[in-house]
Amino acid sequence: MAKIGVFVCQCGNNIARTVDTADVAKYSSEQDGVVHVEDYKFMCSAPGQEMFKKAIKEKGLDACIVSACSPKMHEATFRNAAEAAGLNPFKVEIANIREHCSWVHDDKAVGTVKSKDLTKMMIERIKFNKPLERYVMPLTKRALVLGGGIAGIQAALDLAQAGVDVHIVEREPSLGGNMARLSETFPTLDCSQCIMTPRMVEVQNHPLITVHAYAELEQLSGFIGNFRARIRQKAKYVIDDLCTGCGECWEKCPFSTESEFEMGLVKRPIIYIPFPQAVPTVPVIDNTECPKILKDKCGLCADVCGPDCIDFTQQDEIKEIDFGAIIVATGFQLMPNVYREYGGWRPPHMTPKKLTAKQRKALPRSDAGRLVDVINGLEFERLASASGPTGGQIRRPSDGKIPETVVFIACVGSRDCNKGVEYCSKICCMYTAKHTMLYQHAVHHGKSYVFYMDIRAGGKGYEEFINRAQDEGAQYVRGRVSRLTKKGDKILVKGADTLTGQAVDVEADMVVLATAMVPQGDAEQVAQTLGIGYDKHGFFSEQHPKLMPVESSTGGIYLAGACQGVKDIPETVSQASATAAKVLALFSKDEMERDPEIAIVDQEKCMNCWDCVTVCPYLAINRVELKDRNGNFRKWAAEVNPGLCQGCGICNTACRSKSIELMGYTNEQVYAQITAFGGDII
Amino acid sequence: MIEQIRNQARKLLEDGDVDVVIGYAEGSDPARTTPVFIRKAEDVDKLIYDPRCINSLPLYLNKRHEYTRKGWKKTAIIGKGCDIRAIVQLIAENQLKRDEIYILGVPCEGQVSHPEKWDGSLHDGNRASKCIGCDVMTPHETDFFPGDKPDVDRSNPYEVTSPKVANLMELELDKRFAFWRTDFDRCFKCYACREVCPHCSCNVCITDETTPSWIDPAAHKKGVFSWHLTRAMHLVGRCTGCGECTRACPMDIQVDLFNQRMKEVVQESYSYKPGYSLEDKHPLITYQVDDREDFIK
Amino acid sequence: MGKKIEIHDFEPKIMAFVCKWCTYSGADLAGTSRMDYSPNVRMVRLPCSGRIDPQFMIKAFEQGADGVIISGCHPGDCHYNEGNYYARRRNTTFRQLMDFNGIDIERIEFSWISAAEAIKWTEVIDAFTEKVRELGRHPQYNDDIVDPYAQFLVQKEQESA
Repeated sequence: MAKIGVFVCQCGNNIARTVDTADVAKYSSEQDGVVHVEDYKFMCSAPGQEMFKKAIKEKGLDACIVSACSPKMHEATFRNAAEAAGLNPFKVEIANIREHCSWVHDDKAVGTVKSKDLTKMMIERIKFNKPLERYVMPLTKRALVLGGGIAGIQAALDLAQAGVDVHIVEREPSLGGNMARLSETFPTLDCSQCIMTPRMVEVQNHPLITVHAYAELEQLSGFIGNFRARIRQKAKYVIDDLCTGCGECWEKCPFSTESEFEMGLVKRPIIYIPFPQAVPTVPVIDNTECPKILKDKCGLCADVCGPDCIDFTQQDEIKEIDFGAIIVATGFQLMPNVYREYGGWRPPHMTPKKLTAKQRKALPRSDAGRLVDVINGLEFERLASASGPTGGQIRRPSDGKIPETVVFIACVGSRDCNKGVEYCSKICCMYTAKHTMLYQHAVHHGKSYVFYMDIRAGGKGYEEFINRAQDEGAQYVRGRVSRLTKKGDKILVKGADTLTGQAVDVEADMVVLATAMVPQGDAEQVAQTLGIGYDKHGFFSEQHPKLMPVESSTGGIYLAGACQGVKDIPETVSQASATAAKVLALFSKDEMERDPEIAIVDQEKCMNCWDCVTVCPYLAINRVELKDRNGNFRKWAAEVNPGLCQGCGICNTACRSKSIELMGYTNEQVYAQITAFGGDII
Repeated sequence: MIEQIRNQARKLLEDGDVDVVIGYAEGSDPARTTPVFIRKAEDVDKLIYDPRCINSLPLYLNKRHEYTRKGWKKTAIIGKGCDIRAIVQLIAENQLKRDEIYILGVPCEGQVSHPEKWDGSLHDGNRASKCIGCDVMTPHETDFFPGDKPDVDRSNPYEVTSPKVANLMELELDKRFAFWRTDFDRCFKCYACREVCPHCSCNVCITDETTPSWIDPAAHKKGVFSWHLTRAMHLVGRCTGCGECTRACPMDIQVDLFNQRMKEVVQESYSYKPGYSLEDKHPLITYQVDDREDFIK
Repeated sequence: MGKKIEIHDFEPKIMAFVCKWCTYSGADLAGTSRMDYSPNVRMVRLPCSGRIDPQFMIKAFEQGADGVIISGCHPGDCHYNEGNYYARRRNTTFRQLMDFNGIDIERIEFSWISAAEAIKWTEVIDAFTEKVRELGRHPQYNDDIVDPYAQFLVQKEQESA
């Protein structure tokens, strides 16, 4: 026989004004199975909770209804109180008689009848509540960080410092990402490499961090706490442990190709490290260009290598490693193909080195017509960088001359529904201002113009930074640029100044486009490999835009940095630390506790139609073979993976025989609520 | 035609490729045929095929009859078009494996609806309503077919075969409800319609469930309605239109009117005909982002 | 808050099956904002509109409900990504079945109500209650009825003759 306690809350005047709570309590006491009722002013208060716990202990209640405010407010409160009093928390239900009754019906008679009905529905339902126990699952306390840029580095360091074993998988030969390309960072004009390289070295030296450079994640299986990653370590043709980073090989290599790190502005050898401060300082051989690997010619690097660590027969290696959590920090790229009318069209530096004839035909202009001096932000950073192709001197890519007049164009591709992306890329106003200052510092007599639509400078010290750029000589012109054309060896920029209402023409030596910040080209594939959501632009989707900005829709996978959305470096670092905090919370216990309101299969009833397997959005249902005690096959059945099930119940609806049931919302419970309903309405 | 089938069946049994051939044989009176299970090659001459063979044989492949299939590794079955639709649907729903079944397809021009109407030949006076407009007179999925199998265009949308469906849709709502009320007065929950359906294969039927008792087993009005509505919902997108449920009903209730109307709805809303593809998933377990929602506020 | 509730001769009983992430929160918001709406509705909270089984609706009508409301998150917003798409499909077919059975599908209301749409919740409830009040009591299976189909067939034959 059920022993149900019903606690009706007056919530001060909030419920008591339009509901006769004493009447509701009396009505409840007359229901089958109810042995205790209370009618109290503030159930959620400390004395209210005490009364609740006392009643459970003294009367030996095995289920409780609290008729009060919305379950979103206090279901957790009362469930915790019940647990403290020794009652299974899932035997506590809330009847919402405040938000759904007392606050919306201004008639005491009507409100009382409805509250009685709502309470009765819950009383009948709770008779079928099962005392669910939270699931305990094993946990691998090792984290995978996908991407070795500043986000990945920050997250890895935070985790390693807390004692967690971390692996970083980075597809380039070195850590650093896009931040390593920067010359100086806003708003302090810190040298980017100077603040970053100590971190990179710390990562390399930390005993708990393993760096897999020049490697990619090929496949991911499993679920939160129990992932298995298949990582492809691409062949470097160099033996890591023996290499001393002396540099003889890359200095002597007689061949070269476009440098990806330098944005194609300069060439690099075929055996190379991307930049001098690369971590790890182990070169890789580009096997799409190396004549020794392709045609068995040359091999000079092996001849000059002191420690004899070059191995042309090396193959890709597959590593399968278990992880408990994954932090995705794959970063961004700048919008690769910019408008034809801007003239600065350039194939993205990630395209194959050799374009096919068809691809070449698809280029909007021949090389001769391309305006080589129209560059994007990262290319400008390389020109300005002291370790860049020009040693920090701002020079035109076409003829190496120092530009006297530079035009910076903002919002190229951003805020553009027609030809670009409709969002604002957030960082461009700031880095454009920074570029004008870098230019002015390098070329004191130079003239810089910025064509802008709006200035967005919402961070700490950001507005002051923009003002400083203008003080240092940058001319801000509010208007857009319609066309760039060649005029002699200069570029004619045709724009407008909307504040004066006049057309503005500038003959520039160089034009820098603040192109949109977009996700990496293979973001969609990465998302599909990981099984996380992504939006129409390719940014990975967070679980909730305000309250859960670092969790992805898949449990155990967290998002850090620009792969989740446009952001600057301070925000990236904050988000990376946030993901580390989430992973630490996950790893704080030795086992994982999972919410038990998930689906369970009665495997004897299951007739293996697999409708549930098809509809589950989380692929949480597996097909299993049931065997008899001799090991012979008996039947197929479905089985729910408690680690993945999120408790939506779509499977329960799809199952025709109702062999799969969602705990907490079983058919019996809902059926009881439906049959309890039906008293008078008014 | 039947000779070729018999020869193939004999060959399959002699070579040991199949354990049993399920087909039709002469029935207890000249107007009927009966399902037959041939185990030995010398018995294949019992197999016949003519317009009296309205029984749907895939029922014997259905899992609930597994006890009769124990020990059968591979089964050959004589299938006319509508039966093969049922087999294909069973395979698509994972109740059968394609390589467990050897389908001996037969060309069919129609079946006689009742033994009482058999007068030696098939004609418009005795043709079953499900055979009108049939697009699988040459069956679509077979392992053996006597003679050449012509190509048939089966892309035509499903059309309801019983005129009663359209008539009922013309009636006003309360009259429609009244019709069903009086029709279902005769139903006494024998569940023959469930037993004979080739797609009904739950180990524990929802009607036999007691916690909760979804569908009252009693034959009062509520129990009858909830049973038939549930049966219709469970067959949405799965019913292949064999018509056996109506044929089996001892009270002559046209229970498959619900199924025909639902097939029409599924055709209109999702352009889907069950039983034609081995891989298709029925519409209730799939979705399109732009599904119709004209009724949603 | 403060609106007088009018009591009529016939007050319909309405059952609502709602998803806890969107519609239930929307109804909560209606409460916090002290909006008024008809008191005839009783809600059953479910994790997702995809959990709403046609069995519930059949049961609700059997148990005396005069109208049923189904509500969940807008397509694309489902907390579980896909539940509302399945609910949509299931209800498209179920409504047609009810219609064929002779039950007025105006008695089944399907609406997408998000957690911010408290006003929409109150409007849907009020409009639906009014509509069901006009439709009257849901015809019970027990009522005495005469077979009209035979009459219909006779009429049809006379028309075509």
